[in-house]
Amino acid sequence: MVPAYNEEKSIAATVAEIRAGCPEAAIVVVNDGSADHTSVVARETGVLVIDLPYNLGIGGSVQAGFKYAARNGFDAAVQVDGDGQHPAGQIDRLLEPLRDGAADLVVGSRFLPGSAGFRSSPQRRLGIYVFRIVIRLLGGRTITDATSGFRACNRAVLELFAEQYPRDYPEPEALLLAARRGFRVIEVPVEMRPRHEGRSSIRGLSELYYMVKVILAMLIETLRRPQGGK
Amino acid sequence: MPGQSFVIAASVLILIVVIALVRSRRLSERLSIFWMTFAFLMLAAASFGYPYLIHAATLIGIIYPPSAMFLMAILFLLAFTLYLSMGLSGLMEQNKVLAQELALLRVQVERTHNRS
Repeated sequence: MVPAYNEEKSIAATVAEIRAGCPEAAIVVVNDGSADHTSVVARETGVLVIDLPYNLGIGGSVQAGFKYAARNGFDAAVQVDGDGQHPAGQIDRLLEPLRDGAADLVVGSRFLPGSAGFRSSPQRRLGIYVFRIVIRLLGGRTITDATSGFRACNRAVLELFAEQYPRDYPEPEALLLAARRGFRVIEVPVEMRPRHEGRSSIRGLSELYYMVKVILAMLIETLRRPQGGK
Repeated sequence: MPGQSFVIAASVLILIVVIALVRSRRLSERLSIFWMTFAFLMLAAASFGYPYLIHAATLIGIIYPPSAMFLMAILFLLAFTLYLSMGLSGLMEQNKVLAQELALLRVQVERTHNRS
């Protein structure tokens, strides 16, 4: 599934790349109330498009994808961002641990030995480093690239996420959500690129706000009793 | 005291406005209870409450009784905004679910439509 918000320029290329890298996959684009022609361009490629009536944010869009996957009996869900940063050709690297039953949730990481390519700006990397420590402390495992939205999960995790998924900047928090319910979260090295078009949804001062908000949300998550899961 | 009559007039006005809003269904009954309570408390405090206010103020160690009144009013408004924030959070969540359901249903409708 491909969450997309105003990605008319890169969505077709992303879809084509997923098709080439993973021909057996059912591709679903979740159009998060884009103001441009994301939906039309995506439909022209022949994939299924879920059009949200208005902008819900990345969390709400991805969760809509999980709901679709859960209701239509899919065994696994892979998230690939619509902006072209994620190497759709490397989806197999994410799926392998799921197929082997070695993990429940697999994250494509830019920072593992064996990863290469684009590694984001220095201040973003600092944020990712802080998340690494926070998740280490709260979730008891090391995730080198908690903000990576290039990830795959099996049926059990996608059912959990269809029910509960964080709203605004969901990636790090979702890892904690799954980890605290006993799911096995692992990372595999991938090679990312700088985005083709458009801008990141997080930039400037809001990067700091983002970090504080996510850390706070993760702290509060640890105060909750985990519902669902294993 | 002109101050006293001013407060009485203000609280009566709030009561009238709140009742009018509920009557025309622009304010829900549930939320109107807060405002009516607020107006009645103001009315009570202004008409016969001053001796009690002085008593209450000295009890919690406030020398200037009107300050105690301000404090209570601020706490009340704070509680009310917190309540509203809770309501808003609930609505945001429901709104999200609704949007997702609508989008998923639209997919299903399109699918059945294309099939027939």
